[in-house]
Amino acid sequence: MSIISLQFFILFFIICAVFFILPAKIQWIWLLIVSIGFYYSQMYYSIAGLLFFFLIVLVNWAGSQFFDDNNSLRKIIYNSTLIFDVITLALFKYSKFLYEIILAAGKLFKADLTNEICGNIVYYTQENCPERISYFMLILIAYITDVYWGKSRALKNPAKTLLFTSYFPLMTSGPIVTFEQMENQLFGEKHHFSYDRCVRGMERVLWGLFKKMVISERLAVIVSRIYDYYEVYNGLYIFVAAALFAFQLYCDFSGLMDIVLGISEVLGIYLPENFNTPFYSVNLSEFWRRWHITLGAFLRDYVLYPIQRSKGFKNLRKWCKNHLGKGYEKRFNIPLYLSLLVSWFLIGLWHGGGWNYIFGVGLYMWAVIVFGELLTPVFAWIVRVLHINTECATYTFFLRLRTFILFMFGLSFFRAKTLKDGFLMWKSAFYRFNPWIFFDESFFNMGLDRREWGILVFGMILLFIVSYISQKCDVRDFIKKQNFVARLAVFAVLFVMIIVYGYYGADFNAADFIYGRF
Amino acid sequence: MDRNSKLINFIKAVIIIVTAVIIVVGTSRILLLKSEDGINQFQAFYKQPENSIDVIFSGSSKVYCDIATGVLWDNYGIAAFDLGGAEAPSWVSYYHLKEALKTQKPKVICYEVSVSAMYDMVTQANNWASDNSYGMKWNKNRIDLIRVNSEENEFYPRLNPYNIMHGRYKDLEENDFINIRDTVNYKGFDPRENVYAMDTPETGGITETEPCLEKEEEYIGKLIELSESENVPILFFASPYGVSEQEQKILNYVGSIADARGIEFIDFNRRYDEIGMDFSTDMADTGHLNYNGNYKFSNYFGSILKEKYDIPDHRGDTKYTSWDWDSTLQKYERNDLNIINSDNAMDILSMTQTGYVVFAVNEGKATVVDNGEVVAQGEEEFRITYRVNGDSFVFEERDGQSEDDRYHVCSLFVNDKEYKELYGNLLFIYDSVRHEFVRTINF
Repeated sequence: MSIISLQFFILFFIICAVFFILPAKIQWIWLLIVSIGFYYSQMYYSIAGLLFFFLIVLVNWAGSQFFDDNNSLRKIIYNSTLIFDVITLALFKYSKFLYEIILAAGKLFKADLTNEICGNIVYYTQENCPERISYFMLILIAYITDVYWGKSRALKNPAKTLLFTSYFPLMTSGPIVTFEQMENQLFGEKHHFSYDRCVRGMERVLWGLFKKMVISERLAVIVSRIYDYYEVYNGLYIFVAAALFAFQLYCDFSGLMDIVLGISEVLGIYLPENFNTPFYSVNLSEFWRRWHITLGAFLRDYVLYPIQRSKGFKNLRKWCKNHLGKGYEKRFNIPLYLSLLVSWFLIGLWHGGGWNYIFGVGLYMWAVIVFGELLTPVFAWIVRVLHINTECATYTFFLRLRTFILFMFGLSFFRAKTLKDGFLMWKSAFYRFNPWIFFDESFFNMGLDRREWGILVFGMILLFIVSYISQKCDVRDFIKKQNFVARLAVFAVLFVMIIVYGYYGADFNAADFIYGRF
Repeated sequence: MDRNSKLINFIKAVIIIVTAVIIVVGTSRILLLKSEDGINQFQAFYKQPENSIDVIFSGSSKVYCDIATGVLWDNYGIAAFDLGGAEAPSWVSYYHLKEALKTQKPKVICYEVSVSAMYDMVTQANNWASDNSYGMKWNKNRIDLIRVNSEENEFYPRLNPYNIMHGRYKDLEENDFINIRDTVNYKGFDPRENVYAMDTPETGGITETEPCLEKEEEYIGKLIELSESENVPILFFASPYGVSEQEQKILNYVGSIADARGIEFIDFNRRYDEIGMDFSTDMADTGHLNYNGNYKFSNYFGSILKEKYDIPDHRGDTKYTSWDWDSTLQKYERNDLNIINSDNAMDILSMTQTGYVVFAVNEGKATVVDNGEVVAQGEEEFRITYRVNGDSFVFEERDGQSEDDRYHVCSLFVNDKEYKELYGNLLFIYDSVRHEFVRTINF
């Protein structure tokens, strides 16, 4: 069941009504029933798929029971559980990718490494991949690691572990939560109905629906046309498509997050933010701290820091100090760059088993950040020599634009079918210079007519206004301070825009959420 | 939170919900498909006074194209309504009639059976699912109809009409924001204007039968049961059309079902001579009659209905003035067609003596004639404004104002629409009964 379907919202109304009536002690049981039902529908009503999901949670729950300090086997059990999780994730998400790499490597040495059993495994795992595995596996890994580190307590009740992992708003596209963030909210406090919270939550849901159904789906029409036919839509079209795709993905993913966080807020359960107006970032590092925040936090806390704290890296730091001298961190911080390389590789890989992901949202981003770091003194020198004023709005705008262009280029590979396609597309961008496309109405013949463009531009302007205000204050607080009639007008305008101008139903090919496939 | 705040929050919540409901109801009224293929018919049907209709015609588009309610009224005083749906198979008609009989108790139901004989139409019935169901009010009949007319995966998306109709924001026009004047008065009738010449079908000698689809037969049975349980007689009929041999065999089969259940079946494809059908002039396409055809057929059918059923003549009854109006509109539409098809300015002027506003330019002199009376005149570089029955006109002579429009023209604005011709001896004809611009003619 789609989270943006009418059926879901009718069910959600019933879920809320029952939830608030129930006593505190059993509210979580109701959420568990709902979450399992929701995930069951996400798994296309496959009992086997649901049981397999239970098994994964059960293994992690069982492992977490043996992490107390007195247990001599705790390290072995933790490592075993972690390896189980990583292998499960790799098997279902990356077996095809790995198999293709092995076959390609074999070809290099003129060896045919095709193996029927491996082929069958790949086929089976591709066909039966549990939905949202990239999200709930990370939640489980974070959970067992926190318990192992002593940051969280182990849940004695496997059903509670199941709820924590499968809480239904999360089973769309995250955010990736930690047990610490959820424990009290799910199992501790009684959740009462609150008018203010309900209105705030639904405001956020409406805004998310607006971003997804009114803006993102319209952008998708243009983006798909250019990406699918980049051979003919060449030259400046490619730049337009790359830029619009960045906005499409933002509206799609952050829109979904608004819906997810909004419905959870109605229930009184606050989930961590995943976006913080990333297009206002002045460099790529900052951008990624404001884009898919919980994934970044997961990799920072459970990959980057452990790597940096590892013995191997301690030795590397010593080696650097001895060979590069004191203060090498400021000149050429090899340990940091290497640990970042691993993190960025994993970010790329998390987005999909394909070199386009590993390059576009992984290694390329790493390279830009590291070179940006290395060239900082050069930039500072240029600023000094040219007497550039860095304390003005236009300079900030320039930094934001530069960051957006750097991000957009990497992201364009995310949207391309393969890495090769991505490069071919950019090659096609320089095939000819065709500025007339901005004047001869070419963009009105690509699936969106003038009226549709009008709606899109209106939506984008609204998006920028809201993003701008949210830099200064919480937009919903801002709306709350207005008179009830103004608040009602905001609700009515958004509601009308969604039900009339939204992309859904028979005449529109509304796509699933892009991040829903992970 | 004190009681007062709770009460205020409760009131605010109610206002938000009411606003949402108003938005949904309001936008759904505007966005509702204004289809003449079933939706408008049902919307108009609901506006008929309770128990006022004496004959309900049910079936496919043949019903609303072939049965001229105005002719039945003018010639026999029959208060009839065409409750057809595009390519509607028997299960659609069954639910239409079930809904219709909630408010009407007709003297007879006339069910047109031709769709049963057309496999392509029956098997593609769900192509018209929205037109055949969205005109109905939200109730069990509507839901049951959508269910029976949809594949399993189509049912839930179709239940929510927004899935189909919200995309209409691209096509909204005046009719979407005001009541549909014509349909309400046309009693479901939606005539075809064009002429399609074809050979007369030669299926009169075919007596063999071939079964229709099982589902079709099942619901034909249900239609008969419905008429029995509601105690309203039902008459099966097949309109005259370009019937094929196979279709004729299936029509014979449906006739045999009717026979077996004691229901009268009239196949008008066997009565071309009695009707006076001329297939070179009376058809709009192979399946539907045009103005000539529907006049002849309705006149003939009316005489049969009068003879077989005890149907009162309501002409002159003040409760039935809407049927008078309906017939008037139909007459004007016929007259408009004659005006369009005429080449002679004098003939046209004779046809526009009542119910028309004529804007004429003759030898540099402009005249506006309303209902045969001269109401305004002008000469060189004239600019005449005129208002009547809620319509506004500006009639003027002017030079072109742009590169694309640089000639000396004569222009008529009707409300916000402009019609223009090169300056000369001209007539602009406006039908002020139907509120339709008819044509221009140079003479």
